[in-house]
Amino acid sequence: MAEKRTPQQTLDRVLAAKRAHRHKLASLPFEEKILMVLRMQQVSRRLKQARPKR
Amino acid sequence: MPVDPTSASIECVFRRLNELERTRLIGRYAIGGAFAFIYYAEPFETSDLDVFAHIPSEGALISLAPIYEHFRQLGYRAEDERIVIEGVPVQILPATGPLVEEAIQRATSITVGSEPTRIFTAEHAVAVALQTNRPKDRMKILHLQDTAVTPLNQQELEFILTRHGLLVRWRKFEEATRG
Repeated sequence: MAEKRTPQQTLDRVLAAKRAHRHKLASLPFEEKILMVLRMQQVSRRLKQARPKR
Repeated sequence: MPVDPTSASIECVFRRLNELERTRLIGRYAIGGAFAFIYYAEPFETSDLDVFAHIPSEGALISLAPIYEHFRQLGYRAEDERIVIEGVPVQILPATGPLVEEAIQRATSITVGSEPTRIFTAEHAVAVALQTNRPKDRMKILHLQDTAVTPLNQQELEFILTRHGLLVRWRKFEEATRG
């Protein structure tokens, strides 16, 4: 189990990890980014289709 | 049936765009819009790939019909104002105004797979977004500032903004978004 931290330390670690992840995504090759965007579009479309009609 | 794009099909999109340029259906082109931001920063959802190009014409009016017809003959379908190439929605946009003209001329050469293409510099992408100035354009600028691998070249950006009368708008944007 990881060492105990204050809530603020925990939050700071989470934010630092998020920043690192975003930096990693920003560093991906362009074609991989395009594929990622296309997958996002597909998920959006599926969600719209799945939304119940009012 | 929608096509599931792969790295090979992404490369093919740029091959098709280069063919358009080679056959002079469009003049020099460059990728702009959201994908220019995505090139420099963390990917985010967007609806299509914006291709800014000089469209050949004999007068003041232009027509995208020959481009659409070219793609229709290749078996690609048009969807609203977009052409879906290998599963990728692509929007061809005519260069309107000196800023976009400059962004196309000074675009950075890149390769996607083995296919060469061009993309707006980050500074031109920001200037064009600031000129368009919809809420989503301002969001893209903030996103770039927040996640770009390389920071914006402030001096170059200010040269561009000054040339195109956007420096005051930029100062207001900076003031409003200073964290």
